Amino acid sequence: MNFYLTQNKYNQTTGILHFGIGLLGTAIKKIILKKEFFENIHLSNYQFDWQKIEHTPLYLANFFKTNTENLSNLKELHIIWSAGKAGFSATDSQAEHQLSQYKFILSQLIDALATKNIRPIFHLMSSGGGLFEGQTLIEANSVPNPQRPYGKMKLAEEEFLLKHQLGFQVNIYRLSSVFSVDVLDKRKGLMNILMENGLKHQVSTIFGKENTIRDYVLDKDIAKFLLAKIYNNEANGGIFCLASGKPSTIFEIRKQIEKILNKRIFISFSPVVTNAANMSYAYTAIAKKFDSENQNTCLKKLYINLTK
Amino acid sequence: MVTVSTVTPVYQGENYLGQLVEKLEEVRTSWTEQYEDLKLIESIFVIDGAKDNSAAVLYELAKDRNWIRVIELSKNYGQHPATIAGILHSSGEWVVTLDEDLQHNPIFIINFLEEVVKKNSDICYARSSEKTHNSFVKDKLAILFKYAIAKLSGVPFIVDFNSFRCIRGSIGRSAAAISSHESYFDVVLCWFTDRVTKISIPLKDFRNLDESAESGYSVWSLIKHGKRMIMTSSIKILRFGLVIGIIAFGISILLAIYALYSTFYKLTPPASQGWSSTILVILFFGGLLSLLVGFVLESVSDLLLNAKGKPTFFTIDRSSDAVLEKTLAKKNGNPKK
Repeated sequence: MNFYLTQNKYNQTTGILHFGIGLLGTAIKKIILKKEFFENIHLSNYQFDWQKIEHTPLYLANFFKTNTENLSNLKELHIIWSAGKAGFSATDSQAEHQLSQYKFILSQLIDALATKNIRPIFHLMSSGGGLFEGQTLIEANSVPNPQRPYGKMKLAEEEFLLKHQLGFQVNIYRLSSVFSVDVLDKRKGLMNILMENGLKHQVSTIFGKENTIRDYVLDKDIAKFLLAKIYNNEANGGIFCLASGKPSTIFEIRKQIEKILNKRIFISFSPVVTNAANMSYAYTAIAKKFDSENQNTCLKKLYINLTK
Repeated sequence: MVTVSTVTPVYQGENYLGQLVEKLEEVRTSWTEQYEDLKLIESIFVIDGAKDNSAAVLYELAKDRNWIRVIELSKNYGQHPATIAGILHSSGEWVVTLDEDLQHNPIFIINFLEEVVKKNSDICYARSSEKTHNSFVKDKLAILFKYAIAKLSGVPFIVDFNSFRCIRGSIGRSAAAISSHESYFDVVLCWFTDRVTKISIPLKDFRNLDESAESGYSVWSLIKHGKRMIMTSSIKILRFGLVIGIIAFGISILLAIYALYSTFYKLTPPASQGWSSTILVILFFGGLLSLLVGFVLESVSDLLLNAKGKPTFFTIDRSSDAVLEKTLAKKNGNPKK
């Protein structure tokens, strides 16, 4: 759990409480610390043990106690939720477990903030892939229809905040397939795996089909969109679909990577296909002001980072 | 649900685009009413450095139609690159490419789908059921040219190539992904499938009939097309050199044996001293050189195809064809179980 104390565009003191240190969490932290938006940043880390979430009241009490003075100047607190271990292949019990953790932590937080007269502004990272699985072209008016426990969990996370949003604002970000150009240790996406294995002459196993269509967005683009909202004081609630609008097949990405590496890469397609439904986004569905970097440029950056 | 995308490269279509969008809208609406599991999900227009007011017209048309998608290229790259860009932005299970100038009536898209289902094909080209150019010579010359290129390139489907085509999305997107600026898109498509069919429908080149408009086609552009087709398919024309080399080399060996034999047994008196040996040496080394150059060219061709990304194999999923067949059959009041 990270707490950033800074000023927004209008020099108003702004507090950001951030849960999650995964792909997106790291990107958000990097963009904040690179000072692309906020200039004066005071960062504090707080202990939060996900194995002992029953201690959440204690963790929160510690946070409020050490920040009594800082929080007294705040009327609003931005809470970014990009936490969660469960992925697309999560089982029912794994998804339920994560959802109950999420509800428990946020309920505690909402209650605690209510006693301090601080209005929370939530920023929830949801999943377009989970919510709209099986719908080929997602449009502005597409209705979520999750097919798997992961998608159902993500929808329940959204509903939990939307149902309890009396008195606070909820910004939900429905993301397409997220990738990074950074060198990652875990939770690597398709592009990172194909590029890394290509460099090492290793075989990558794909649990989909070569023709499967996906829409890829860069983690940093998502982070920038979210942080711009906070910085510009524009986090007024809403559901934002963050996608590039450019559908890509695994075959296309493979060819782009082969061109960059100047050699063929080895791919084995698993007979266990877990995620082969096509998914793309209509331009009209994508949030206004969301800019996504060109995929091929990103792949070149990834190559540079991996070969540094 | 079977989804269809259309792709239209735009260069100078301001006079036609309004009508084309109207026709596409009619098709889209009629499909929604008539077919349960068939949808025209998007119409992609690729502005290829348009030299008229097409871009403004398209952006205006797209304002109230969220199914229209406009992609603008930075300059004029040509029809094939623009088509490739459009296909790479498409999501439909089937992608239909059509020209901007109303030569290709969207009403016939359904005929394409019926044909691909009936023939179990991956690509279906339109063939004009009437004269396209209103010029007998021009039409016949175009056909003759295509036959010649088909022979030279070894791609028999070249005679059917037409920019009004229906392509299985997965094949179209894969071919588009590996096409480079000099690739001939239809030849690349044939690297992925040989299930190619055609239908006869009326195609009329309105631009050619309209005397004030400039035709996009000339003899020079026809030659350029042919060159690109051959260069993309590569192998066969290069193999020609290899075959000549083998024949010349073989003949030189046979003649040498005959010359030696006839000299040794004095079968025929020599016409002039040294003539046979000169011819034999020329034939032998000429043939040998052609043979070696042929091998080198074939290896270069292999490398070129590899560099161009010709796939070793390609897997495909045609399972949605059953849904399409059922949907089309239902429309005709003949539901299939």
